[in-house]
Amino acid sequence: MAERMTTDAPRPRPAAEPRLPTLGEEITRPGHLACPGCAVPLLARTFLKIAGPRTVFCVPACCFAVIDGPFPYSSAGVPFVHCAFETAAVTAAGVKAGLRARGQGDILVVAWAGDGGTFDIGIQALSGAAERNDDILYVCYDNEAYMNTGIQRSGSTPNGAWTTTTPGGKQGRKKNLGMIMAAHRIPYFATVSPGYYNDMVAKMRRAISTKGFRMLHALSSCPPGWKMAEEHSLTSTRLAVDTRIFPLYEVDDGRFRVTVNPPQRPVSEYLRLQGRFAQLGAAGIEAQQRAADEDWAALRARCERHGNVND
Amino acid sequence: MPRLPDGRYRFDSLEELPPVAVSLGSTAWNRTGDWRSREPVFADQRPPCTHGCPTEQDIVDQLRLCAQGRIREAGELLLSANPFPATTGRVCPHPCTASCNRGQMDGVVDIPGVEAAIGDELISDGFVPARRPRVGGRVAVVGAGPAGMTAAHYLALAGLEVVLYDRDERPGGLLRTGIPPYRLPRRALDAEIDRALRCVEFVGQRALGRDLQLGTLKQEHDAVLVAVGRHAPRPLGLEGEGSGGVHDGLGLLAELHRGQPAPAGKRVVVIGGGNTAMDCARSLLRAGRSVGVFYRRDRASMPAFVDEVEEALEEGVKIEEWVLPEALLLEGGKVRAIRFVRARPGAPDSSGRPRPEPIPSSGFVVEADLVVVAAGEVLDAGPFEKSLLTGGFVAADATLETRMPGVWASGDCLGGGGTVAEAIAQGRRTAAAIARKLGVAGPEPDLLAARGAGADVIGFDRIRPHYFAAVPAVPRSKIDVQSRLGGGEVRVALAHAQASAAAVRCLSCGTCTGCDNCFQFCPDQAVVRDAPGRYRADVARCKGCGICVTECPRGACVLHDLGENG
Repeated sequence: MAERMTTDAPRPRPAAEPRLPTLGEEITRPGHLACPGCAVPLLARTFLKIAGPRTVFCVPACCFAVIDGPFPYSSAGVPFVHCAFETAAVTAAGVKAGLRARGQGDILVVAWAGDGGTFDIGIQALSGAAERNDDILYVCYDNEAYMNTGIQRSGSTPNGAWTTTTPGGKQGRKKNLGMIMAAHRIPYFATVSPGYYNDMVAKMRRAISTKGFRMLHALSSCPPGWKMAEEHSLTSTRLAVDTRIFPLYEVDDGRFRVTVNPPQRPVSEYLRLQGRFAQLGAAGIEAQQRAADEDWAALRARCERHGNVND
Repeated sequence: MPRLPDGRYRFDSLEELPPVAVSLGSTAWNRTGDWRSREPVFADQRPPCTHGCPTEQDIVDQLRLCAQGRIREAGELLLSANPFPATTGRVCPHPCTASCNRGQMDGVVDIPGVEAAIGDELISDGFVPARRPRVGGRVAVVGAGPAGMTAAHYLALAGLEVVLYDRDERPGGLLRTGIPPYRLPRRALDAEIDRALRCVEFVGQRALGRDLQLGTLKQEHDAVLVAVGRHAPRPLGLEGEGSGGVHDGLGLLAELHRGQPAPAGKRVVVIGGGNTAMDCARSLLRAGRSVGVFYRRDRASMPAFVDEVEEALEEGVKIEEWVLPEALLLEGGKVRAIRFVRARPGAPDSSGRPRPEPIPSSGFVVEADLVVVAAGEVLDAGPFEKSLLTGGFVAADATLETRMPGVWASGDCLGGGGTVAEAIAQGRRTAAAIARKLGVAGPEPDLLAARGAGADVIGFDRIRPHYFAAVPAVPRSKIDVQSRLGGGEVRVALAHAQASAAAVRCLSCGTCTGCDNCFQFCPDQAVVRDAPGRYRADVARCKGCGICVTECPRGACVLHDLGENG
């Protein structure tokens, strides 16, 4: 072989290897007002990259209504209807009806509400829209308290969690939204965690392409409200799944299916990341573990009844 | 209502306002970056494998190139750090894998297996590394072992005229005289030596102190490198060590590998616990002898590589621990048996290991008609002036220059080390130092720094295991014991596809692979992707949350505190 004489060519480097699914174009815009580490903009950004620009958001009073930006600026990049606290679902249903009347029924209408506007204040409108099977997609980003107004407890705040209105930790358990919605027999319900990105993307795709009333229940970490370091934002939503405190499942026309088999880590790993659980002693953590085990067993039993268990 | 260049609208009269409040402007003008008190810095760091490897190869890039099917390029990169990959892939104790982060998940990556596979591929390809145009400058290298050959190779590639001397007829040093063919097939060794020494003038049968003098060499060359190794056997200090039937380990191996028949003797006793002892034991086993290895400490303390000890035991070598040789029993000037005494661990010595302490009246006699002494080697200090030595070894400074200016040293003659990889690493370092001294472009001393990687060693705490799918390690297969005693290679080399499959398992610790996690997970769209795999933080947007840093699967991104002025 001929002797090559140059050695100054740039050394070879391996090619880049993108790992995440390729989504559509970026719709949302930077400059929004979310706190550092907030998961909501990430949820919205990912959602809109899949849903595309022919989408309308209907947003009641909640963090996202503020995050989007002050008048006359918006970061969503799609029409964004601000509505009253209790009316996310019906506003969305109304917008959908109006668009259909104008021959634009293909536009996706999304009700995007926090846990306060979903579990508590908006549940009547939500139940009604679900019962009528209005053709809307309801996204509840659940940060487990009224974070926007100063971290007051909501129906979604987990047992034992500190809020400004439960300084010793909340008494009683979190409402089970999945069971409430499953009882409505809606076409599609799913829980999503931004810490399980591929699972979240798959469920967003599914929810967007399904007809009728469908709902995504997203665990949305809130570093200030959870008293947690900002960089642990996604770690916490991942640990919530791994510890089975927030299992990932979908309910397809009443049939339950777990989509991510969690590695079953002890709940303490999730709890100790967040200052809002700091007052829990060993007995408190033990009780949380028991509750997580019970809920998980109940969810598994439900999946088994529908023949949807694969380990 | 005119639209302004920044995307905002201007309303000139009340009539222009829509009937309801509508936000038509974008928030993109908002410099949320002003909120931050810290920011991510995207920079590659040092993987633990490279940190553990004496030659400091760019293992991560090599494995990724191999996984992407670019074996030739992986090989080119490998050759820039190590001219003998097919050799080291086989004989190195692979400290690279000892700290492999994947070991804490589903088993270490088979780095040496891939290295040997790449080396074999380069041989069958006939690949030859590029060489710079000739420049003035003559260098003499004394000793054609791994250290000397490596230095000669890189100096020749730098365009210098290099003469390589060795006391043997053929180059290779300990690789040829010491390492048995069942560990290192000679076709691989010969091919790699041929490639390494293509542009080097080799002169055999020239020993330092006999045919060559340091002073003369120095006068005739611009630089001299001494890499003569250490060959003189360390005696046991027993009476009758010169008798018939008693051999020194390295000498015996050299004779065997030159094709001489093994010396007579059915029952073999090998004294020592290093690689030479294991090589002697296994080579004599292959010559049909029954062999016992007698070592003064326990098996775990043996300096021999773990794999070698395991394979020796599989093949039927007996190992006796905690025994000290006491006397050779002779008959007619020939060894007949050897008396040992049992020992127990005593106070630790300078190496931190327990000193073997003889147990009184525990003596026993082992019949033996061939005794191999492999209790270590020392430097033959004959050719060196006293002023050049420290503690029985050649003394050198940080650049490996000896106390005689213009004379460098590397390899085993410096003491310490003792592995082929360390010799190669020193050879390359010395070549770089000599090239620098002579004012020519030499080999790159730090490949990772050259591509911009920082000095942080990435431990398992920086790895995010949940981003990696489990792919169990496939242990390399070995030839069964009966067949391997025929003398062939013990471990089966990885085929092309197997090497790629092993390479895919690399986590690329501390090295950005362009996975896009940081880019996609940023809530503020503040991570900019300039090109696939090239990221930076947009400081006008970044709020400093640090999600990109926590979600980087491999520690290629760190969070910097900006302090009070941030």
